Amino acid sequence: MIELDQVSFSYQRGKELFQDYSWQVKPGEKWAVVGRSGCGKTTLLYLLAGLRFPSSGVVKIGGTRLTRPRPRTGLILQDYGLLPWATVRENVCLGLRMRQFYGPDGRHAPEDEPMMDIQQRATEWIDTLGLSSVVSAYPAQISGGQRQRTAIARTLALNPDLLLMDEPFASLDAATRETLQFLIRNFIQQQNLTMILVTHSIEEAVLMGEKCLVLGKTPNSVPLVIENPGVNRPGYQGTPEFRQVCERLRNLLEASL
Amino acid sequence: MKRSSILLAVAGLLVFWQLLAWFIQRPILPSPLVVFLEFFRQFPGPLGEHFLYSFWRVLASLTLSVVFAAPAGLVLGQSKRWDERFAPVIYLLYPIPKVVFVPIVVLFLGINDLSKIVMIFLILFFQVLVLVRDQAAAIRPELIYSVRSLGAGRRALFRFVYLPATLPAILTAVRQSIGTAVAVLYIVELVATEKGLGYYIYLYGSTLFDYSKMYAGILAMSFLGLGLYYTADYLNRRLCPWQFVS
Repeated sequence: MIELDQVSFSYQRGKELFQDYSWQVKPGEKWAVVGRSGCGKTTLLYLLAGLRFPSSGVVKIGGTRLTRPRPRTGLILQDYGLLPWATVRENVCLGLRMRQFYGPDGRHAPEDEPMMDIQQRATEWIDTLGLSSVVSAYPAQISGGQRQRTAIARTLALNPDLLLMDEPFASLDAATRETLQFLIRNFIQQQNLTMILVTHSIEEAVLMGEKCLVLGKTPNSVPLVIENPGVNRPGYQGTPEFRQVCERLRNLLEASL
Repeated sequence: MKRSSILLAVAGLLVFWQLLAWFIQRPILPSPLVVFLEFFRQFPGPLGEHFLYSFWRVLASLTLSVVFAAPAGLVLGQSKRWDERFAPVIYLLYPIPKVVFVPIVVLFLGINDLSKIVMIFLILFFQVLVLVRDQAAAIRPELIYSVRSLGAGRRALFRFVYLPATLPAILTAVRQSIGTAVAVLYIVELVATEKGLGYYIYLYGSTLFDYSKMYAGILAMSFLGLGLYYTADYLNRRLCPWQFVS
């Protein structure tokens, strides 16, 4: 699904974040990416999203080299992703309207996706995410959890096969975070989506990712991976194995600095 | 603001005017009743024609300034490189009172509508440019990224992000600069023209000494400013409702 081949990247006036970095993700895999701030987590996500491009090397998704955002990739950011001047409903419709705006041209929208009734599809997702009571509110008027649900609804309404998330639960309170983690996990499991979740929380990484990628001291050149096969077991969070993986992840993180 | 409080303010001002007129007792300050009667007599006739000339000049310069300044502000706000290059120029030109250029503009463009429109345009241009630039610079990159990830190309970004993001700035700039625009309108209409409210006010005030007509002209000019101001305000509320929710 994802293939990074000898990728190097640095910002204009910055140190190199990645150097000859190669990494593969198979379809349906759920990855969590952890690391300290400034280690290149978000940059890696932007590289995968087609919003930034490597200075050398190739990023391929589904066998095709990325030159622009790919229509079937969904991106959910921590904050600021919603249009402040659009209501919840308009925000949920945004991606669908965009597809209608361009038509199924294969560049901005998938070629094989049939056009659908925007309002109907938006309503389905608004209901699924429990947003029906705030459809005509603006983002500034609703809670952080509702905003994040809106962003999730907007992305999932586009039927992605690859979901990229940058700290999507970081600014939420504990209860809301758990509900949304559960919701996303179930959905990804059901639809067998490929997921890349960027997080700074070790527990969240072990809770969500069947594999954890650790980014450490820059430049990153070798992927550090921890397998986490127990992730799909019910009640995993309370088990000794969960704590063990967390511990290993913590040690690897510290060792990589 | 409530409509009743605006009406109350109007009534208060009229009472003040009336009291002042009684106190001064000179032809130079007629009572509001006399002026309003004159206004309604003149407006369907010559005053209305002068009003239309002035209205056209302000409207044309407003339109021109939005058409040129809004895209320029958008580019500067979104591109650090361009902004670094042009910010010093704007910084130097913005505070200069553009009214001082009246003779130069008239010299170059001649005694016609164009020179008057360009003069007002010069003032509005910078106001719109600066406000739109600041608003465009405030658009978070995360917002652009997430909208691009939904499939937006240049056209959709413009339609769904840049346009709605800068519309409030355009309308605010227009509203804020209407006072200046009308003031400059008065000045440019003093120079070499026989049409326009500036000319009308000056003619009846300083040449013919017909003060009630002069005040009717002042009223017309006030209504022009107020009308434009409230139109911009109305459009702002109508087109940018998210700014007015609690």
